[in-house]
Amino acid sequence: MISYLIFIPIVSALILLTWPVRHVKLIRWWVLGVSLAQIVVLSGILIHYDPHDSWQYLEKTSWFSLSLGTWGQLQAEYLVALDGLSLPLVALSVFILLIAVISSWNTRENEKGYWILFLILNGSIIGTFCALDLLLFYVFFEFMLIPMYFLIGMWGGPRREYASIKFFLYTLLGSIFILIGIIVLYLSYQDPTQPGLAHTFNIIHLSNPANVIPESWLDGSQTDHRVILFSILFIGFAIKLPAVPLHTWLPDAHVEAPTAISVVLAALLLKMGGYGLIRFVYPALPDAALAMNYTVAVVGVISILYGAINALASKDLKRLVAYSSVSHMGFVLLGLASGTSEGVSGAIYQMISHGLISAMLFVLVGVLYDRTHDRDINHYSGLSNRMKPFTGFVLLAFFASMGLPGFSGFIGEVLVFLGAFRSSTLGTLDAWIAILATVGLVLGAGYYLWTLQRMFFGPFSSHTSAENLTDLTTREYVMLVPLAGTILLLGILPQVLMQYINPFVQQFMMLLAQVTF
Amino acid sequence: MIPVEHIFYVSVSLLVTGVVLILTKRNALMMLMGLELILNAANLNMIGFNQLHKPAWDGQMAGLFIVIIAVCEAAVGIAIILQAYRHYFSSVPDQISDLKDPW
Amino acid sequence: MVSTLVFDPSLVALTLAVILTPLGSALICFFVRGNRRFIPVLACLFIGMAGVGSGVLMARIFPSVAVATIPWFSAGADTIQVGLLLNPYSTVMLSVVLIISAFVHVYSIGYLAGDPHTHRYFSWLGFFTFAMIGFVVSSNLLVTFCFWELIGLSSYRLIGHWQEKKVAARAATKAFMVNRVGDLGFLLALMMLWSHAGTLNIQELSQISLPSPVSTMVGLCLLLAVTGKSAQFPFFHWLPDAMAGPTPVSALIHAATMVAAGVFLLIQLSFLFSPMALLVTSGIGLLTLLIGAWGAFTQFDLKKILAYSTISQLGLMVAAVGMGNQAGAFFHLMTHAFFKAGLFLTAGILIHQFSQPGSEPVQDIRHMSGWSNSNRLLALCLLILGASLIGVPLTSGFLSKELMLSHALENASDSLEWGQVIILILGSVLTTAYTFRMLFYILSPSPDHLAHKAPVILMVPVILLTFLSLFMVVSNSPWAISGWAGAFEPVTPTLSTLFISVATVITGIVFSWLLYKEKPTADFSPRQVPQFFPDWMQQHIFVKFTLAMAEGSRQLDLKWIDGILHTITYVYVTFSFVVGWFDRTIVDGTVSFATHIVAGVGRLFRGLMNGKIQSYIAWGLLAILSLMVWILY
Repeated sequence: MISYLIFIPIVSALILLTWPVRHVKLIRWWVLGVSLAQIVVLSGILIHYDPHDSWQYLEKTSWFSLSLGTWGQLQAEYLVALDGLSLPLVALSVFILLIAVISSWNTRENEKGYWILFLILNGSIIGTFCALDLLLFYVFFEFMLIPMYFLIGMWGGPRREYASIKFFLYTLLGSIFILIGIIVLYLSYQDPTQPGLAHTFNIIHLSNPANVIPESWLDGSQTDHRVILFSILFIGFAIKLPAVPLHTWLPDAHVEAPTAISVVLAALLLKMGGYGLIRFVYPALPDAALAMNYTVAVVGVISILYGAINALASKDLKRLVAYSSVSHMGFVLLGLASGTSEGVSGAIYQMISHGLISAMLFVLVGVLYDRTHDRDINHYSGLSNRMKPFTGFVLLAFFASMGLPGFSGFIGEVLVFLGAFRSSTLGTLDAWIAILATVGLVLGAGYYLWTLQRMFFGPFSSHTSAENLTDLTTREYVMLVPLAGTILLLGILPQVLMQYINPFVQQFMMLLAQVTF
Repeated sequence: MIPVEHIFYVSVSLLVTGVVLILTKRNALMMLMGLELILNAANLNMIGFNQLHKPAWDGQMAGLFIVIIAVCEAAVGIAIILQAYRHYFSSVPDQISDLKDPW
Repeated sequence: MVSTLVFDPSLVALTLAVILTPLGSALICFFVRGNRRFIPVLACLFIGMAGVGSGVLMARIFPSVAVATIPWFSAGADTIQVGLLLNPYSTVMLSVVLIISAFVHVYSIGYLAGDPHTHRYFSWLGFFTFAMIGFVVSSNLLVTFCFWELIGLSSYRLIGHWQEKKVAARAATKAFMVNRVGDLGFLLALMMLWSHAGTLNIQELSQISLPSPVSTMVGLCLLLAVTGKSAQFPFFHWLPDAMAGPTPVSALIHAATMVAAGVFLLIQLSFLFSPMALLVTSGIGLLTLLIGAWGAFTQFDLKKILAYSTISQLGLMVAAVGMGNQAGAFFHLMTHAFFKAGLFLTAGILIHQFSQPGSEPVQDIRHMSGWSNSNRLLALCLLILGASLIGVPLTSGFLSKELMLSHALENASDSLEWGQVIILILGSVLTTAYTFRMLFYILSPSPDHLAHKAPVILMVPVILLTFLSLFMVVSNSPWAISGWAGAFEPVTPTLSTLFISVATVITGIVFSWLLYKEKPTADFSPRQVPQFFPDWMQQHIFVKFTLAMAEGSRQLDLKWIDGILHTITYVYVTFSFVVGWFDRTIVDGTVSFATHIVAGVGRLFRGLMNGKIQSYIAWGLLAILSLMVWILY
């Protein structure tokens, strides 16, 4: 079932390559059909998914297996499955990708190319979240970069070439770090079914410390090595997350990308950083993670505060939202580093919630940009007088993003806070870390309220002509209402999502408890 | 008797003169003359060195042969030069350089 | 003596209905587009029904405690429960909030009659009511916090209701921001309680005793939250600005309920405070009492006077809790809600009367006299409400002040506590003084007569609230608490406290009359505006500092972090050029050099074949000669 999710878009992309250009209008509908098909498959998966079971919908075939004589065997598998961590993320991906399709409905230049690249991106994202073989994970992980590069570089804003190449090279650098980590992990672990003969890329086996090859570089006694490897992998994923100071690709990429691509970038690509850390870095190296928790937490708090402060200084609305994304992903790091079950659940919840909220924020910015091509905050005042429903949605999105209760962001953030502070009483972190993180809430309120006050309230004025500022179209309602509804649902009934996350977190905490080797 | 060294000096002078003529003269006929001088120098050498081999007459016999061959060769040579002149309208060997490497 | 009542399903259903009815009103007002006229009436009906329901609850449950919880969500091994906690305080508060909200709804129909956005107004009013009662009855502190923030959100939208006005938008932002700073305190307290006590359920927390440093910290953090929400020093400067919202909003939110939420929280959670934290609490409360009173003295804007008065009275309540007198603080909360709401609504009527539609509302007390002849009922109400604020006998305000004063006197043993008593008395004198100052200005006879009477729909709530400010509501006797309210076990006032209260009232009246009499037409007000200090601090120090820091960090991001990235890129690109040069010139150069040599040599040898027969002969000769030489030597 999962392979359908991954390969329907990729196969469609290949078919679309042969599509004649004069029928370009039908391509959009085809892509919409693909997205809806994915939703149908996802619903089928959800119905039969048991939250208490471990890996479900597992698909495993041997990808390649080369015998290297006395060096053993080089093998990798096509192994995909869903569990409590990847199912919500896959559901989020399918949903957000549908929203992105609707958002880019009016793209006219190079339509065929756009949609083909989009479909490849679609398949790669879902593949990354499902893959349980490290090589497969890495392939999908890298595969996303190429369509993104083109999508930003060809359909983006004025500085798109700079932004796209910066994004590509910077995240590629991160991927190199990850690759080094993968290779070291590979060489230090053995396949339990063929001990002594073959290494393994299988993530499930990598989480089991019994599979470490004795006397290898990552042997249990070599804590220093493990910390080094953890740092390398962490840097690689931190670039993707993004964590300050490795974040500077994000504002440029977001600002210059077209609206739908910003939505996908913020909602999905950023989650891969957190996902990778939770999926295989922390389980494979729990003792190194424990040693580095303090550093990771400090990086998280710095991201929270720095992102919020920079958002305050932004004059471009999209840049403001981009920096607020940096700030929110800091919460994910803080939650992970707390080492408590509520902290980790909060981090995962925050990932899903931020995906929804930032998607909504970028769609709203796109609403404004589509009409006036001007995102400067100081150029507008009193928009609520002319665009009331728009203001309503903006209020909802802004308050959701600043962590107001009733919205999903609150649950994630409060769990992270509770976890971070409790971890200080347990001795892992210090209390000031959690206290500083709460200051981020005030800063968040600061920049959002100030933007509301400047742009939406007060008497009406605008630098561009007022006729452009029409209210929301049906297409925009179709995008915004489901997003708002989901954000409210996850804020009022968190158990809907928590029932999937909790079993995973319990298992995760048990893996982390295997600190002594 | 004339000592052999003196005959040798004269023939060497004739040889050198002949070589110089061949190498430096611009007219093919003059080259032939040089060639004749070289032949004559060789002839003189032959006859002179015969002194050392008395009573055999081999040297002088060789001299006769050389004179006859020189005459034939001179005739053929002039014939070639005349034909070449008809073809190239010049008897200057430097101007007949069709086999030059054209770079 | 409170006992626990079993919460049977019908009562739970009733409570839930009471809570959700205002939410339903809010949603209907927001989404129903059609005929606009009946929507406000519908909203009032909903709130009225909820009020009736809360009365039923009070009759059934008071004075016992009833608790019901269900699990909300679980994170890891812990489960957060959401539920209802109806102890005496919350049961009574529920009714108070709903009564005042109902009155304000009715009043708003008249007050906002011409406003084009009434549906939005009523929906937020309903939402606020929902959030407030949710806050009051919640059994888990996390859920309390949720509602606490939702109250703040509703306040933001209601203050900024007239969102085309910059003043209103700015005031709303300021209110929310200051509240948010207070919310940090709440969140920190939550985090500490979670870590040290393992639970956030109020009932469970009351069974646990925390070590002293922890309980001090928790207390101080909660105090921070209270100062933000209830406008205590130093976070009170948002409340006077919040008067930019419509007057009914000020009555509901900024007099009676939202700002009282902080005090209510304090009352419910005072068991968490250590003695040190309680001492700080009373200090802050007393300080605010004085500052608020002083502020009320300096203002000429009617609503701002009432705002400062609210700040001052809230300080009084907070101080009472700090001195250990929860019952007294709660009583004052209740009576203050009624008479302050009444005062605000009266002010609203006056503003409504004096203002011309389309221009700025008239709110200056120097220009609001000359109506008392044609509106005698209103004037009477104003006097009674003012009397309740001052604490004149026979009003409910008198009773609640008595309670606080007598508690303070009874427990006054060392000099610190005597000092608290003295400040209380001083505060009462000032309260009397500024109230009378206001009344003198407004009720003074003036040649400008306003002939028309106030509309009935605006008068009815005022009259009802006036009635509620008399002693009959609270107790059967005008001198001490008896009757239903006796369940709170308040302190019985003694004769000496009675004497002191009356003395303060008289002193205050005399004081302000003397001041007023000396300069009858001129204004008297001390120079400085106490709002000055925290507001100035916020504007010039905090805001400027934060903006400067923001700009600084933006430069940091662009020039330094990105700059490092760019420098690395430049270095890398330059390095690539160098390597490229190396590759082209040296490595490739060596290869080409070899080629050149070969070509050169070839060219050299080609030169030999010049087609000249004489040179051929020469070379051949040279070769033979060298051969001969070589053989011979």
